[in-house]
Amino acid sequence: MIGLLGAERIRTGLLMLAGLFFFIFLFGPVYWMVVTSLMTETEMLAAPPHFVPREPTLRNYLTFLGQGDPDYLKIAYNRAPAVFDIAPALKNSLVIAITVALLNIIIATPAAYAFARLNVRASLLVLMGYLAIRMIPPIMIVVPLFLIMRNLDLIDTLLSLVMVYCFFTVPFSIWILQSYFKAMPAELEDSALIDGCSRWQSVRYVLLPLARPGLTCVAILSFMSCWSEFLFAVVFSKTPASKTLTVVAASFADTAAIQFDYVMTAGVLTALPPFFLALFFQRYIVGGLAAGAVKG
Amino acid sequence: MTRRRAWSAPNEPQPFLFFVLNSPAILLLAALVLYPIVYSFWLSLHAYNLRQPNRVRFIGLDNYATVLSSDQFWSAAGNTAIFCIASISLTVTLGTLLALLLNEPFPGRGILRAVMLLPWAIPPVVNGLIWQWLLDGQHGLINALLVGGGLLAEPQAWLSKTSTAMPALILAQVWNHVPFVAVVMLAALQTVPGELYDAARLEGANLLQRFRYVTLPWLSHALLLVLVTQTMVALRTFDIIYVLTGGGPGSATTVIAWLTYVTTFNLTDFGRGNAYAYIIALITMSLSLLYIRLLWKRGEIGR
Repeated sequence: MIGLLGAERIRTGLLMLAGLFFFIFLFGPVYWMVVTSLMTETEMLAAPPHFVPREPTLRNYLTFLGQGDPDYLKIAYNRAPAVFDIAPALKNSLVIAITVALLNIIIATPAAYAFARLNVRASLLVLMGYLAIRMIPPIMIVVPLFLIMRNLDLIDTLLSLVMVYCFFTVPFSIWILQSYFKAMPAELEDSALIDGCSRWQSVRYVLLPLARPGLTCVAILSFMSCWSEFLFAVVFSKTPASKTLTVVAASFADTAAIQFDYVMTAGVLTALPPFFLALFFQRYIVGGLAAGAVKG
Repeated sequence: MTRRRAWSAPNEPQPFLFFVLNSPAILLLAALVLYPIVYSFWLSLHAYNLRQPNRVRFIGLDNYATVLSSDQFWSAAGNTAIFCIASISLTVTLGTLLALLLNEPFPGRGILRAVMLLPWAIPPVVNGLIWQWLLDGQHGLINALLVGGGLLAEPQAWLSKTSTAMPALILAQVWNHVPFVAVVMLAALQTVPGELYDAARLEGANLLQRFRYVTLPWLSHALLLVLVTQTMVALRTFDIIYVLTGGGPGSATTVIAWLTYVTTFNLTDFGRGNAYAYIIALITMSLSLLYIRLLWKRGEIGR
């Protein structure tokens, strides 16, 4: 009995040790990014490194917003002019990601409804088509799309990125939503129809309210994938008029002497929205991801 | 009368309504995907370099022949294979281990579950920036820890050495994608019926045997799907290469996706760039077929 208890204790200890390893591996790099963003340039280069900043400061964040000591702002401009592209880029990224998330709901919901409730023979073929589109490597269509956008004079506009990001997100959204709708009992809508609702009313008052978690998941996942996208953003955007946060953040890495305090601050800003979405909507996202990956 | 028919019971086949409801998506995707794919193939059959606008002409499969007979391509293909195989096997192994761990009760599991999704939420560009800072040759934390711990005599420039640039890239990729695999595998693990373990225990199976004969077969399908999706992700990896190594040093981290980008946008050779793009697409396409076959077999699509 005592031996058994000991074995149980060793087992728990080993599990905790493995847990600690994963905790450091997964959380450590994020922690270091956040901590660096709160340091001055001098403290960032301290040897041995300060794991907890001695004098944490929000100076880097304020600099991005053009706030703070004017002398320091001048120094910041000389160190890395791109710091002042951050604020407009933040706005661009938000506009793009929110627009695409809404467009996804508008475009994917009717399509998903059609798959789940209309019982059409061709639906399998169309669904396979969407699946196939989701698998096309972006690098394959970035070149022709660049030429097309150039001919339409849409290079360096938010519109071009909004359009392209629908390609990334809509097929996936349809896929998730249709399996979501299929899992919802059709009897509820049937009884609404029997009670005299029109088809539109049964969708509006019965199906859509029940499907809210699925719609939320689709909106969040499409927001996150536009927010993080880089290839199309870097190819299509030339000036701060359409540069997104990922493009500006990456541009810091191009300069000869890398300003890691600014880089990590830009990194935190870029990672913050997806991070909070993941935190608050974990249940929806995990459900969608698991369904999306296990089912397609 | 006709109106009533169109809006009748939900389960009656209604092809017209079906295509009306799908038309926004179909039109959008046709414009953004199908047309560019055809255009891209057309371009790949041309000599088309922006630097020589007067020499644009149809050359058939010459771009493909040039590409497939160049050392540059085969070196990139080798790098792509190394990157994919190493990053996928590590991601899937670590992700599965993490899922198995999170499926066991132990103190601290809640914290681990809470931070688990963090790296997944981090955009790939930021992932690249974080690792660039961690691996920095002068002030990077990894050097500080290794030198401070006495494991290294002096700091190493991990990203600018041929021998370590690729492993560094793989490390960053693995870190970013372990949570996704863990989420999927955890979802699959939670569907294993507990009775199977009870039965195995009664038969006297130990921990390893229970894993080998109960858990693993139950997970095999999720594992295969994760392998296929991760392969597609690895094949298209571009962001972190842009930020971390820029394909270098030399061509040590030049994969096919990177070569496509550089050929097209730095060398402005659209013809050859599109030929590269088609080669990646062919590889991905055969993987997709495999993937759809797997889904089909499982009955996820069909009906």
